[in-house]
Amino acid sequence: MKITGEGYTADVNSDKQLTVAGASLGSLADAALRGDAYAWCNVSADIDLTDTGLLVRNNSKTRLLVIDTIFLWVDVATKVQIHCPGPGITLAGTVVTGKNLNRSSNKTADASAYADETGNTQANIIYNIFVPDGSTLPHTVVNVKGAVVLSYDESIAIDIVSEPVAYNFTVWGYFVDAS
Amino acid sequence: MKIEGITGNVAEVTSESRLSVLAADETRIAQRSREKGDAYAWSNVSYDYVAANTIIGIENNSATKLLVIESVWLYGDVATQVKLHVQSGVTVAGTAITAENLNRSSNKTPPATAVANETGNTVENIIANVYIPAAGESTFVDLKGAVVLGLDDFFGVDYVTEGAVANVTVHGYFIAA
Repeated sequence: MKITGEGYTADVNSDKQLTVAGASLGSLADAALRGDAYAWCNVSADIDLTDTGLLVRNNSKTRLLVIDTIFLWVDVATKVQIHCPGPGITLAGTVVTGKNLNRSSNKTADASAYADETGNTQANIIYNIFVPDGSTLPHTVVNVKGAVVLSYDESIAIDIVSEPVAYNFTVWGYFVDAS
Repeated sequence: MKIEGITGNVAEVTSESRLSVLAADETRIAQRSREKGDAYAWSNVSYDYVAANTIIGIENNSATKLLVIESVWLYGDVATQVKLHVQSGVTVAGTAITAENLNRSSNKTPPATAVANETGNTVENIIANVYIPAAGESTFVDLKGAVVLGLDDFFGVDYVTEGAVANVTVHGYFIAA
């Protein structure tokens, strides 16, 4: 069988490979087109050392929350610990509302997010990241590449080890159906 | 059923039950640029800005196409927080920016309005807080094509701290809604 289209026939090379041409669309972008991608950004605040600067929890029983990218900025040089503290947390702190990355969508995130979150206990560290003194230096990008997957009642949390006066964290993520 | 190419070779299926292919991949923005001439760059002329200023604002004016924001380059002469934000229904006002088609063989122009020193918007729906150093090199923010603007939706880039130099470049492309 030959594959034809628009008057052309696809080729198979001498390595027995069907030659194709494709345009790649990242999962985050694909989810954004469905209206399923969100950003969570805290308002900067003066919090204590070892506090959780931002926590995002998946509230959906039917969909997974996939974390794609995290931006970190702190006004002091510090270790930042990104962890997944597990289910069953009574969340508390300053509410952060997820923003849909697709402005033509009116969907809202089935998630809860808090800055200066006080209900969690640090557990299951997945990143130890050291960020520079942000007063003169830029933010740090953590390209999670969609590798962190949160099911119902699971969270991702970002802790600052040293005492800051100001900080800004941004989390980008998207929802997919749980199989 | 076997897949036979125009040269007579037959495609292989591997022991992992996968059709063997050789894929020439390109990014979505590259495809839209090359095939449709629908990818653009918006860059402001540097100016002396006040604190909390919208350096660039871009609004999609198309009812039939979505504007996808791919990436942003940021530069300033002072270290500052930069707010990337989105909203709808802005009465856009400022210094007009002419888009450059990234496909130089296309004479298309974008159905969008872009201005520097935009004064009609109020920052809301922040999608990223990033920080740039004083002078030195530009900071690249990869939005991964995840920011999608429908008709009358707006994307803004705000510098928080006052400075004398600000250069922002935004790359984006249009797709059918």
